Amino acid sequence: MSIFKLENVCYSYEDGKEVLNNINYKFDKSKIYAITGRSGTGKTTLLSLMSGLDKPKSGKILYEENDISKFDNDNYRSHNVGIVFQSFNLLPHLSAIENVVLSMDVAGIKLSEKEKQQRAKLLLEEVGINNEKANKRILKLSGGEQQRVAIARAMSYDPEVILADEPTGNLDKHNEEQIIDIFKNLAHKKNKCIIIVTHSKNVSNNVDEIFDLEKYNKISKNK
Amino acid sequence: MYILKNAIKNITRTKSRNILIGIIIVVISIASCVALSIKNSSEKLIESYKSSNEIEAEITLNRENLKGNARNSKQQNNTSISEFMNNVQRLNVDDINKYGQSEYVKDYYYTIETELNSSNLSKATIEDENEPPDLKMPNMNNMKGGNGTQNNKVLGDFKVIGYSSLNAMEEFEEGTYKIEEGSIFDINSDEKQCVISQDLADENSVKVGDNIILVNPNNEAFTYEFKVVGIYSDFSKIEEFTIFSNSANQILTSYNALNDIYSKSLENSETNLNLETNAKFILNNEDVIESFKSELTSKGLSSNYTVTTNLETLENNLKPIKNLSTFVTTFLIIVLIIGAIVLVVIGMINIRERKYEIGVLRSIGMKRYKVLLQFIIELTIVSFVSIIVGTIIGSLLTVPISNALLKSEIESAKTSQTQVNNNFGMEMPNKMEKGDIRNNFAIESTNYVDKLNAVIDIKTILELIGIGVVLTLVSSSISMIFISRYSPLKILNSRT
Repeated sequence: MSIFKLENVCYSYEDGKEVLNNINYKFDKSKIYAITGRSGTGKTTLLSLMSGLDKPKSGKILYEENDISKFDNDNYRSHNVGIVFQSFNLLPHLSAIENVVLSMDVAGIKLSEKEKQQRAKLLLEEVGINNEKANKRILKLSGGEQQRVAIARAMSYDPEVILADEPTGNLDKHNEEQIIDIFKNLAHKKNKCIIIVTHSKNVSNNVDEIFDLEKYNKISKNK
Repeated sequence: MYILKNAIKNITRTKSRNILIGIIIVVISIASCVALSIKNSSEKLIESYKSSNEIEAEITLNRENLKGNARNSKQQNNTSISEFMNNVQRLNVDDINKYGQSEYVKDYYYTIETELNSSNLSKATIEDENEPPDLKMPNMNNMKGGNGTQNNKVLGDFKVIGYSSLNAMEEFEEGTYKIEEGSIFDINSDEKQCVISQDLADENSVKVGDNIILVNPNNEAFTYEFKVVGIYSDFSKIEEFTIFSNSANQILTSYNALNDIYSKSLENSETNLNLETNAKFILNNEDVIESFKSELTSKGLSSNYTVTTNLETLENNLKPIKNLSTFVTTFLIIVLIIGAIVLVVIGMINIRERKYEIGVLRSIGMKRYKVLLQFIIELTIVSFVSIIVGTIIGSLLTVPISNALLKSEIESAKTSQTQVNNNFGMEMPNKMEKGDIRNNFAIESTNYVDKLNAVIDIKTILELIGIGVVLTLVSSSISMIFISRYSPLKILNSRT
């Protein structure tokens, strides 16, 4: 059973410019997907729709066969999908551990403060952040390390799907390789569905399935 | 719980901004605390002053109307002004009882007074009875003189006053008169008992228990024997160039006793005594004054009379306090408006600085109301601590500030009053007594309420809490609008 389904998804900006037209696609668990396409084809927009940060003008996005437009968006984002942004979107005044714990708090995870800290440490270790760095403020970490913290945060409440928008866009090749490994590990060992919006050929070459948005997007050429 | 934890963490994280907000709220709290405690204490003082100083109404001659009516009568009926005045209906006790039976009246009392001679008392006077009248010392206040006439009736040496109630004996209540020997007469009795002044008693060697004989000045065959049951001293300021008190020749008795004499005097037109009736009505409150006036008119009070009250005097006494209360209320409003504007501006800066944080929290699924709650908790903690600090400082400053402000208000009012008196070419003593020769021209002096015990009570504390809540809501209003209007995607996109 597919975890995510896009059914005739259409979206246009407030000024009327059409971005997505009649998109249909399916995403399964234990797989990594790369959403590709030239700039302006609506990749990030599609990811925003799938993460419940925005709503399609028409069509449906189904999560486990349920229309996400019927969900409480905040609840959906804090339980069902983990989002990794290109610019990380971590809170700079908090440490790596605190950022991860905050996400668990928002998700309402029933653990003691100490248990949450332990779990955060484990998650950070899994993505290559050691204990010393875990206690550092975000601004003291490198871009690659910040992105790992963002992935750990996305995993903190154990969602079925990770949506990542250009997660390696700001990283060097070495860090890109490591982030790809983390995602592979999450998809293949932890049965998560990883959906990555990317321009990177390296990322595209390492995913299980490429969803070329240009191919599926039925925008009229006259528009 | 994590919201509270985050809020506390944010307060310590953004120390400088919160210290700035705290200082502003401390200043607002001090100003509010001082203003509210002064305002509330003033209101209490005004309330208590009004309840302890009742609204008194009196029926007095309306000179303007009298003049007009007299002129009309002269034109229409060719009657002289003196004839007209003789025909003006005098107030009598029946009228007063009729007027006193009103839902607006709490209590009423009256006095009747007439003039009688005596066969065994000499008038207390420095005038030589053997001298011709034009060589006598002038009596500026009582131009009627000792043996003059009024309305064709002979006037007596002694003013005899009959009281309906002890409440009507204001001089005793105020302490101007004080019984030195014996006691006051039975107010409800028609027995011929009286009290006389110490001067009159000394002049005639009268003691408590002696009898005095009063004589109808119109017919000396009519005599009335009174027993002296008390002798009083008069402490009022002496009005004349004399060694005797103002009330030296006054004989005080009950209404019933004097009315008995008066009623009998009416049996014969030659013995008919001249009687003045005065009444005082204690009204329920100041709001019923106009209704009471209308009621009296509908009950037949002639247009030759008017109803006067002590409201203006009471209001004048409270003027500095009322001015102070108005001043602090205006000051409080200005402080609150300026404070609110500053807090809103800080709130706007705060939101600009923390826009990204709001976007991140919302993007990871934190609900709008929880983000807002976190901001409100932060401001509430800062406001609460600041209000406590402000209240403590304010409570220490309230009493000296309130007394200084009140003193300044009283000085200002006194200066204004002195200016008025200067305009009349008069010096103004601190307190001018009624009957002062200059009183015909002077504005009556005022006994200002000059002490304000401005303390912080429960009402003030509750109002301060109210102000705290309002300030917190005002300062978080921008956050509320921002958080409720913008989606996390919009916030994060606007940053990148």
